[in-house]
This record gives sequence, C-alpha cells and structure tokens, in this order.
Amino acid sequence: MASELTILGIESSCDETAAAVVRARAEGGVARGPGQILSNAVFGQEDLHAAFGGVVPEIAARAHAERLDLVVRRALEEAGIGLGAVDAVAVTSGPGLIGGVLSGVMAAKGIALGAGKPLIGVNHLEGHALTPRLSDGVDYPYLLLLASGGHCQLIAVERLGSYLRLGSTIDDAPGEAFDKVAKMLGLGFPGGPEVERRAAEGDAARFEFPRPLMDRPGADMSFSGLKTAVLRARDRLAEGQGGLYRRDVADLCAGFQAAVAEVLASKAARAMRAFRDRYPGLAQPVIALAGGVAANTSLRAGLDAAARAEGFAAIAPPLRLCTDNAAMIAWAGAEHLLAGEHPGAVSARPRWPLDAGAAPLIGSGKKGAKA
Amino acid sequence: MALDTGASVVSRREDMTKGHAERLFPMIDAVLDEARAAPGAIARIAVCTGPGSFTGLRLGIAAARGLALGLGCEVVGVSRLEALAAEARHKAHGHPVAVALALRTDVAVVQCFATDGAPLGPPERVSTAALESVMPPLALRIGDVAELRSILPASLPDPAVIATLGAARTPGEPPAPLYLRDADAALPREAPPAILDA
Repeated sequence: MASELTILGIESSCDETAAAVVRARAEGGVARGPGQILSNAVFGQEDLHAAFGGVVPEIAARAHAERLDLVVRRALEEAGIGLGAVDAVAVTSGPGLIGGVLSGVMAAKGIALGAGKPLIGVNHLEGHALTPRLSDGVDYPYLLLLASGGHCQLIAVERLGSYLRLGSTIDDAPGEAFDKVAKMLGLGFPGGPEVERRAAEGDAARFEFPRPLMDRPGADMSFSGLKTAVLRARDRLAEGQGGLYRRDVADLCAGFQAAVAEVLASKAARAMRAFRDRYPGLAQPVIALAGGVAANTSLRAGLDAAARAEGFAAIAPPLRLCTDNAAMIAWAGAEHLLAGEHPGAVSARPRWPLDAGAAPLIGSGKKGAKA
Repeated sequence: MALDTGASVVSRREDMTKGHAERLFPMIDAVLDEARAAPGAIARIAVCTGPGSFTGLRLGIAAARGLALGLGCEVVGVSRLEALAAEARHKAHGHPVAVALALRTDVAVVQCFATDGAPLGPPERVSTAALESVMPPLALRIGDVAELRSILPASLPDPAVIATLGAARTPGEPPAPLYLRDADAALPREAPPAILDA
C-alpha cells in the first residue's frame, strides 16, 4: 500500500450522518499523525429526536437512509475533490444502531463499487480510540477515556488492532445519564449542555448523590443508580412543594454533575495507574479523551486534575472530533490500509467489542458483548 | 433485480425474509456478469420505494443512491404500486387499475391508475372497510387485501418492470422509502414537575 492515502470516511451508527475526507501518511508501515482533514461534514438529527428526549432508532434509521449520499457529496465538495481522487472508502460497520449502520454500509458499498475503490469496514469505537493520533499525532501506546451518550470505556490503546479495556460502565453511559437527568427536569435534548449550564448556578453539596462502584477495586463504572437517585430527590421535592424551584433544578444538576465528575476522575486515575504498571518505561504517558462528554468543562477539569496528579499528559481533541464524526472513521481505515491490511468483506455488526478478550459487562446476551 | 440494456433484460430474484444486505451486491455483480456489462455502463438506477419492509426499503435505497453517486449516474424511485399496476395493465381491457396492499390488519394503501398508466392520485392510506368506495367503477383490482372481493393476487413486483418504468421517468428528488406511517416512537409519558418560579 502507498505511503500516503486519501480516504473517504462514512459514519451513521447513531444520530449523526457524517462523511469526511482525510489524508494520512505512513512511515515504516505505521500511520503517522496528525492526519490532514480535508473535510468533516456532519448532518445532525438533534431536532428530529428532541421531542422524545433521546435517540429514537426508527427515526434515526429513516434520516440516515436519505442523507448518506448527500453528506458524502458535501464532504467531497468541501474537500474540493472528486471520488476519482479518493484511494479508498472507509465505513462504520458497527457497533451501533443497526438501521443506521446497515444504510451506511450499503451506501458505502454502492459508492465503492460505482467508483471502483476498495472498501474497508471500521469499528466505530476504534475510530474514537485512534482519534488522538489523527488530531495530535499521539504515539502508541496511550490511555483513552471514551465517554459519550452510548459508551463509557477506559482503554489502553497499545497499537493498531490491540486494545485493552481497563474499565467500562456496567450499565448506562454518562452522556445517557445526562440526557435522562435533563429529561426528568424538563431541560430538553441533548441534555449535556443545559445540565452543565444549570449546574454552574447550583450548589453541588445540597444533595448527597451516590458515587457508584467507588468502593470496589478496578476502573468499572455505573451511572444508572445515580440517575435513579436524582429522580428520587426530584420526586421528594416535587411532592413536598408541588413542583421545583429553579434553585432546586440547579442544585440537582450540580450534585449530579459533581458525582459523575468524581467517578470519572477517580476511575480514570485507577486506569492511569494500571496503564503505568503495564508500561513503566514511558517518559510521558498520555490520557486522551473522546466522546461528547469531553465537551463538559467541569468533567474535563476533574480529569485534567487527575492526570496532573498521576503524571499523565491529558489530551482532548477538538470537540468536532470527539463527538461522532467520519474523519475518525477515515483515519482508522487509513491506519489499517497503511499497515498493509487488505480490505475484506464488509458486513454490518450491531455488536462488536473493541477488546474481544474482555469479559462482557453490559448488553451481553446470546449474541455476545455489545461493545 | 434486473438490468435492462435496451436490447435485452437480465433479471434475478431471490425471495427472502432476511439477508438482503448480504445478497444485494453479489446479485448486482451477477446480473452485470450475465449481461457482460461493467458497472460504468449503467446509465440510470431504478429502485423500488415500497411499500414494504422498512429495513429492506432503506437498504435498497441507500445502496441505489450510493451506487448512483459512485457511478455519477441518475437514480429514480418506482413504487411497488406503480410496478404492480403496470404489470396488470394488459389484463384490464381498457379499464383503470386499482392496486390495494395491506399495511396492517385493517389498513391498506390504495392507488388507482388510468388506462394509460398515469396515476389518478397519490397513494392513500384507507381502512379496508372503506376500500370499495375509493376505487373507480370497473377498475381491475390487484393486491393482497383479503377483505376485498374480486381482486387479482399480487405480491412482489417484477424487477424488469421497475427498470422499464424507471427508464421512462424524469429524474427529480432522490428516491425515498414510501413508509405511509410515522415512525413508532412514544412521547414522554409524564411531564417533568412544574417550575414554581419560572
């Protein structure tokens, strides 16, 4: 494979329909970041899901099927190139909402066949995991905290294709908890920004919310009980006074956010220590953030402080690369191709854990671990 | 699936309840092979817009629109109603054709077509009880609505007919699935507590 590649990436695994063109180069068979992002187009669906307080799979699937070719056109236009100048197409083939993943894979197969380009299927989580290399040229190995509306994992990114899960949520993702707290307080969807705004005016000490799993060793997390604790506190107040005062909403948000920040920071610190034990010789270990939760200033501050205390450099890629996007999918595809891998058959996989060796913690039925 | 080269039509069909995603592109390859055509020879893609399984329609339409983008060719949608009407027209002996397809137990979609094949209106959702009243007199009826008397059975359209109808169409808006119903989604059941000092 050539030492420089221009890749079209396509992403549709949740509620963003996205396409991007990224140029990547390799030295000695290993991709060398940062990559050159020629375009990064995202068609969001927040307005379609807002009334429901969360992503509705059928609504998402409908939107993706009719927007994929349009977002690819947009990405090519913004990059100022035609499909002829693209070396390969990379598409998210899982894990995620199956309706969107399927449409993305089918559109990508059509584009690849029509344009005569190779097609590579990319794990959405790997896209997030490799983003610090795309954005900041971080070298392997490094520690990643992926915290979003759908995922929460602490992963040692050892090298391309080798990911060791050091910790994970055993139930909800933190972004999902933010959305649910916003919903129960009538703050709209997505909940993150508004909960953060209200929390800034609130007293985090008024409510004593639990810090789940802090009493257990390891870096696994839980946010479902915390969310329920907020709901109970809300109900107690509402029953007593016939509603909530703005002060109550602010204090509930502040208490909730402080609990999430403390759990994330202390679990990340544990993962940093485990990472350092595994790689004792690293002069400057790195913890990188990915996922929409990186947008929350208070959570970021907690993680930055934990990183400083553990002697880690904390890296947060720009937000448009932290939330779901296709530039990360193009980059991950480029890394595989630059490493000399040959694209194989691509099919949609709703479940596709990044660390195949880790014991499933959530959503593991007979079809296997979700993520 | 069918490839209409103008001189001949190569057509394939596999009935399946699932597995469309895995079979679609191998079938495209097979049809092109059989017609000894390269993908670049495709001037236009016609895709069935339904009604039908939502997932199946999305797969076909996403693939067709992606392929059209990759090839730089046109893409048009043809509904199952239009295709079934075109297939049945020679049996109508100069009368209109009414196509009625069951959507749920008591709801159907109906569309009627003039003798020249032009639609007499858009597809309409009607209760099966009201079907009789929306059909032109003497129209040939085809479809799968059991409650309707004297109706010719019809299931899936012939892909060659979709190709023929698609070839005659003026390309416009890109094809989209004919869902004929809103997405299943429940609005939040309980309102959040009132804000007392809003």
